[in-house]
Amino acid sequence: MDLAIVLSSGLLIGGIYAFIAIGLNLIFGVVRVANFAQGEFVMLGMFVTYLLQTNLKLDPYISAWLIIAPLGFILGALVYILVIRRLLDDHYMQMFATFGLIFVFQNLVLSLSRGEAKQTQSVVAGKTINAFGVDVSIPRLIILLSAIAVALLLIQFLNRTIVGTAMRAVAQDQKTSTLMGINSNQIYILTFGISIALAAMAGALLTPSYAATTEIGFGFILPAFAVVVLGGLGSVKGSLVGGILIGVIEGLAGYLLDPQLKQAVWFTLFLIVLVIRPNGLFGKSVKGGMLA
Amino acid sequence: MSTTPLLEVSNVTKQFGGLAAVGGVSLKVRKGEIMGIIGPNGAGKTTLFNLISGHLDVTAGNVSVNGEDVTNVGPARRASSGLGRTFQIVRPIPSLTVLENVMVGAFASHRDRRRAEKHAWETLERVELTHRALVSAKSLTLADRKRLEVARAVAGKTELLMLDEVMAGLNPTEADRAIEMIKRLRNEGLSVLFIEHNLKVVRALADHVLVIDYGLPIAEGTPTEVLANQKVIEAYLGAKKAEK
Amino acid sequence: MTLEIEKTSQKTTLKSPLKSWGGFVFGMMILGIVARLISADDYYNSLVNAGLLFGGLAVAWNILGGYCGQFSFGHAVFVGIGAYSVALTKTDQNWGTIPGIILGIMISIAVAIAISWPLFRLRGSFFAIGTLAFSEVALSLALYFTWTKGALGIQIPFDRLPTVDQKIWLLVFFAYLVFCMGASLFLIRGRLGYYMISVRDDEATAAASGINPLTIKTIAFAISAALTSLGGSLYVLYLGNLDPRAFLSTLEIGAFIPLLALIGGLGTLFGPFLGALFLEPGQMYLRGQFAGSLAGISQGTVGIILILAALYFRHGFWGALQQFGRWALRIVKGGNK
Repeated sequence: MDLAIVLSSGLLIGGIYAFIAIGLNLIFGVVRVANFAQGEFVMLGMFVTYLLQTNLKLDPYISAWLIIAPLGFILGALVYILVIRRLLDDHYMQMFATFGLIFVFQNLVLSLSRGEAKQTQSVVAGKTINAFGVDVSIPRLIILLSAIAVALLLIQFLNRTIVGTAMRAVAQDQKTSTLMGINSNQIYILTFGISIALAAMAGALLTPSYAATTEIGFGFILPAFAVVVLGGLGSVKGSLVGGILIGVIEGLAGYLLDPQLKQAVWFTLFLIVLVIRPNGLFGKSVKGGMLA
Repeated sequence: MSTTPLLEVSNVTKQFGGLAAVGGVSLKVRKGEIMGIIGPNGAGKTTLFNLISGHLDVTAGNVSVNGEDVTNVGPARRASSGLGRTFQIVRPIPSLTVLENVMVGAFASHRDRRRAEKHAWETLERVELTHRALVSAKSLTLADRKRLEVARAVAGKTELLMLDEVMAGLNPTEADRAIEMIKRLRNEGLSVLFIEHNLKVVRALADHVLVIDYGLPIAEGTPTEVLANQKVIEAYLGAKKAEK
Repeated sequence: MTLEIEKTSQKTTLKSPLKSWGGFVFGMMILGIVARLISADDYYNSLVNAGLLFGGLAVAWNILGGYCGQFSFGHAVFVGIGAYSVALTKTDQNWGTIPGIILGIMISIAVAIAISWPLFRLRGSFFAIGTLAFSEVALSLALYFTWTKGALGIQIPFDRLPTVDQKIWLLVFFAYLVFCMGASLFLIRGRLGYYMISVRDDEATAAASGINPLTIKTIAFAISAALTSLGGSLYVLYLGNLDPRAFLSTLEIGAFIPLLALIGGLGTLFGPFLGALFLEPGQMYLRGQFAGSLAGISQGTVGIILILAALYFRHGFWGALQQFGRWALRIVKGGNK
């Protein structure tokens, strides 16, 4: 039965990774930017949720949709307009800039929080539900379900709506899309907005399970990249499946080897996938994809 | 040994899924020869070029340079075996000067920097680019960039120079000068394999011509023979009819 | 002789009067004199030491990142390898300093070559991510294994340290910087330098000239790793202790060193060290002044500088100096009419 616990907790962690990776993958696929700072927006989401809860008594599950997501959207749009837009052609400067964002956000929060970890309260914190003989943490289950819901919604949005189709067009061929009348600048703003909103929401949903610290964001970025690589660049379904897969593998690795070797596991996975199947599980062979 | 062709292409095929972009082409280029490949647009000429230079893998067939089979070898190694190539879209190394660009090629045959620099100067003289030697390669005109490409290839170990539509974008005067340069280089011992659309250039330069259509060879011979060939004329005009 | 500036983030041409040995020696002599004068004060001495060390590290990174165009965000690995090699051999085995350093260099070269093949197949951003991942893995392994002493780190016995005199370290770090820059200059003037720049600017064209991009990148990586490892060894001997979270940190070292090169001028000889000279002591100074009152100000400032540099200042100090030089020349020429 140990295995069942390992698997279920792996699934749940996987939900978190998937949630964060979906936003990262969106930016990757549409704007072609590696947003190293994606995890920092999760961190910001966590801290703002904490503030809303302490000062306005808002439960994270309410503020996540009502306030955090819209705020995240605005922040994402701002980041694009102020920083990323000028760097669209230069991948190297993008990396520097997003690293700069990491430094700025982490230290901003550090000076405001004085380095203290902040734990948010919630009605469901610590509660579990018993499924198949295993005690499953409710907050984490909510994250997993939300990740699935978000992925499905996003897929519908991308495939069934005009705006979503425009986004896919820009992802495949930006120049031609512009010739067809699509304003790629607006699409990019939208992409960043949605992505960062997702990241911030992930943060909000994480608060019942994790304390907010300044470093927590950076700890998520590598598994998020591993998920993007595994699931395939540009594939929302891939991020969902990839995230859950990585979560399960991480859980198994921790169980069979040692919990402290998590990173080694991701990296080895990352390398194996890159060498054997660079397009990931569901990725399309897109021009400007991962291979040199 | 002098009868071994410099380049021998045997029955190379390239399939993309079900489509044969190049379906069984063979050709030989001998030392000191200038050979042209012509054909209507989309005939597979550049694909064939890529197969020969190593930028694309063959589905079937062989490529040999100086008797050495290079079919499974990458472009860098083929370059050191004697195959130099220019591209349709001319790309000099932007951060380097003209002289330094040629030095990059010269280093293939001269390890020491000073000797490479000297050799590069000599090569620039052969292509008449010395007046721009110390200028950034980015600032060259198109015609001069093409000259630079040739110089860089020739400065190295290139024995067979592959020119991919080198006349494209040149005005008649520039084209004439380019023809002169290529002839001069051939007289100094270089062999040339080129793709061209400009039939006047083909007549002026080529000793031997191969015509390709839909990835298959349809005629071979001297420029005069080939351009009078009924099949060749149909291939070109037929394409024009289809455009209507 | 003309000095040219690129429009892209790619770097200046090789053509510069300072790319000669004469200019190099002259510049280093000036630097040496200035450094010695400033270091009369102990506090400034320590700032200069840090500046020189990170200058060398930035120059070492620049060989792969600036000249060869491959941006590694995981160079902390090599700092760590150099540091651990020396620290462990000195503490556990009482090795001499030099053998420990050489061990570190050899391991770093081996590691660089080993991860070259899988990583260099990747396009720019993904190579960076790969190196970043590798570095983070190294950190977690260092914390995990017992023979690396885990999270406790290593304290080198005081009597086994070669010296604790700040003035002597000034000499050592200055020598390190000069060595790294000399290596850079030697490389860039030779065949390898030209090949690296070709690979950086246009791999396909480089391949058509008979260059094997993977080979060149691997060589650049190995050299960069070796020099970085040397710096790491010196660093741990200077500090006397090894905290894995400091030595293998991406944010403190892995992302910081490329920033120094960027600020100073990517792909130039003097640039990276100029950046280090400005930022490393600057950062230390800020931290010292505001410790406690405004936590995170030094790194936060680094972040802002990073963003601004990426947006508006991508040619770095050296680029700015060159533009100023051109402008001044034009004024002078115009004035002579």
